[in-house]
Amino acid sequence: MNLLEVKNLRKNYGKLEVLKGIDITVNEGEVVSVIGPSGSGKSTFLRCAAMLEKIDGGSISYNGEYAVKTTEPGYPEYAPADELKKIKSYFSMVFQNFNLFPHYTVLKNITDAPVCVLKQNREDAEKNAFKLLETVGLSGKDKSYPCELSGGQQQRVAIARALAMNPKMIYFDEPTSALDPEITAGVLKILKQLANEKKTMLIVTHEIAFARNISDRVIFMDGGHIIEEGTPEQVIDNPQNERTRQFLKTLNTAD
Amino acid sequence: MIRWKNIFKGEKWILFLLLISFIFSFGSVSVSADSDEVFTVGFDAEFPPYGYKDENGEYVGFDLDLAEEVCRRNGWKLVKQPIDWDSKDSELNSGSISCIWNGFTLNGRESLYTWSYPYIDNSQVIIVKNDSDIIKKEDLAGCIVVVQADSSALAAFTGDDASEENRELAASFSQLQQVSDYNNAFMNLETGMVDAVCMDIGVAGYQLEERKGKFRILDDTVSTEQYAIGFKKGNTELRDLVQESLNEMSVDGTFKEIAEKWDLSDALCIEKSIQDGIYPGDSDNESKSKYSMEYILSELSKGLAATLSIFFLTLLFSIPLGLLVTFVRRSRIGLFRWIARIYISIMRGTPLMLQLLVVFFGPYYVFGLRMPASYRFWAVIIGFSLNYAAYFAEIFRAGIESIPKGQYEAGAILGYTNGQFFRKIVLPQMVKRVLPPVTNEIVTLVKDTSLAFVLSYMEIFTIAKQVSAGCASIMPLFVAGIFYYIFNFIIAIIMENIEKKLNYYR
Ligand SMILES: Nc1ncnc2c1ncn2[C@@H]1O[C@H](COP(=O)(O)OP(=O)(O)OP(=O)(O)O)[C@@H](O)[C@H]1O
Ligand SMILES: [Mg+2]
Repeated sequence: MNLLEVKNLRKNYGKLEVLKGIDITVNEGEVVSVIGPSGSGKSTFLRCAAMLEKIDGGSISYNGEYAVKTTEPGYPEYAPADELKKIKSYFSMVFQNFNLFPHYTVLKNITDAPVCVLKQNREDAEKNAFKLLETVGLSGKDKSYPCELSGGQQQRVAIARALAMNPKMIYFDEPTSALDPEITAGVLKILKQLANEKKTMLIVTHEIAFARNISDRVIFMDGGHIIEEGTPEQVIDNPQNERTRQFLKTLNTAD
Repeated sequence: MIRWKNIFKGEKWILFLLLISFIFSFGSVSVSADSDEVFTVGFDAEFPPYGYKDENGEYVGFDLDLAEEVCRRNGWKLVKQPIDWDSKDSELNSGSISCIWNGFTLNGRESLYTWSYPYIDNSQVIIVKNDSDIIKKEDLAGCIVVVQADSSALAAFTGDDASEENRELAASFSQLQQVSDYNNAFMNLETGMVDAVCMDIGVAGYQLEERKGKFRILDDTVSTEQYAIGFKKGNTELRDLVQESLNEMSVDGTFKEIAEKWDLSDALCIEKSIQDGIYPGDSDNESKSKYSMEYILSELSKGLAATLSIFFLTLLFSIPLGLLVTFVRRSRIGLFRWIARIYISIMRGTPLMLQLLVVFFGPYYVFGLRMPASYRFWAVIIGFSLNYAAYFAEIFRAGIESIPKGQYEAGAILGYTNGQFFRKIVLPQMVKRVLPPVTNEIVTLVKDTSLAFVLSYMEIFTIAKQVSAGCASIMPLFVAGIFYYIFNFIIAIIMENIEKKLNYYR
């Protein structure tokens, strides 16, 4: 069964059509990268899938359970609150600018939601948090506040926070684009590590080399449509579509 | 004979000296008369019939006529100087006026000035609502009676020279309330917040004329107070000269004539005063004790609890109320948002003083409700809390809205409920962000507590004003100022510490 199934997803901001019918499936254990030019709707797609934005048409289901579906055109129907709550627990998200809670220590940032939302007991949550901090290479930073950490370290805490919720799937929206190039490596290393552990991930990124290296599948988006989709070899090394080629070429010349 | 002669011889020098000094003192008076010596009378130009501006724009009145006559007899030039009543003491002390001569009540102020003999007896009357059951003085037992602050009526009940009878009468009241002006007193009476007003008969006549039919005067009067001329403390020389002329005028009937002209002959008491021959206040040596620093501090400390309770109760109520208003202001329902906006706009757009008056008098004038006496205190608290809640609401709203949207999204992804998220993520960060503007409001509140005087609530500033008027010194106001400063200083330190405590993150 597909972990995520998105069909004919549409999203408008007022008159601006941003997503014009997106179909994506993600299987359990799969790592999918989404690439595309700026303004093509990558973030919007992610935010719709994570239900941070209301959609205008189409359907989204997780694990075969519908979060939202559209039977009557123009009127998408969301699942009742309790079902939605359960569905939301299937995924988590890591943001471009981390969005850590500045008044909480690193440890509290990681353990608060598990304790408050998942009702884990504090000791277990903390034990788990220390393990996660080790995974992201931040052992010993548990008592620090976010403002005392570098951007790369903050992003690694954000990853630990997402992992602590024990989601089936994690969305990443350009997790390294707010970071200086020399410190992106640490974050990418952790993503690679998670990929090796068969975590299901959907990553929006501009790091083409990284996407090729890590992904099972690459999706190229432009103008609110999916233009091309396939293995990294197919999409990145042998793009079939002219727009994909154009996009990859501008990236290469920019580098 | 020889004996007599000897005595005469011995006293000769003294007689000679007396003669010389007599000639000289006479000389000095006549010399100054020739040089057009000026006698400046300070008076409140709104106090008929003693001194006021007539239809022709002239300053006239009983006291001014008397002064005119005294000047004529001494060869002085009279200058009529209308003064602001609050600065009468500075005027006198600086020498810009020679005396205060203006239906000037001497009782209670004996030690503050050098006085002439009292020349007018003025009584205090009691005014009640027309439909009141109160007929005689005795009926006032258990009632709330209101007087003007620093008035003769107040002195008659609680002053050092209050008669035993008046003290007992005052003790029978459930409360003796002070207000800042007569208009306020009548509003209190009309709304039933008090049962009776006690004031000067002259003023009462005028006030009742203005408010036809609603009130009546009891037949029983309260006490008599006396009017005299006040000179700068210690200026007995000038006083004696003026008094001498007055004595002559009393003997030759001029005094009586002038009194008849102004319809005041019934109240005249100059003859008796001359017989008694006692200058009020001259006997007490400085009588400093009454207005010592200890006295001022002990009086002000009576208002301390009131000021502190206004302050703390206002904070206690206005902060949660402000938070509630913030929620309503940010509600999803448009109507609620508008109600909150209008509320905030009115509270911030009108004077707090007016709001206090509306809260206090509103229940009666709008709904005809008679509120219990304790409502005076609660009206102050309600008025302040409603007003400050509006300011806090806007501060809180700004604090909440300054929290980045990304945090809300992180919260949504992590699955916090709205309540959990507000309590755990928004509120603690908001507190830190709003601390500086909230400190501003708190400091302002400390000073604003003094506005409670419009409802005659006895907090420190109201008392300071009254004590200051009573002892003719700005010292009490100055002490009150120091109190507010220290209070705010402590608050600043506390808030600074809290800010430091919250500085563990950025
Ligand atoms: N809240 C919004 N209101 C109005 N328009 C929006 C909003 N968010 C995004 N858009 C518009 O939707 C389009 C797609 O934006 P989106 O952020 O999804 O692009 P993106 O592919 O993530 O680009 P980038 O690579 O720069 O992050 C853009 O034209 C953008 O201006
Ligand atoms: Mg984006």
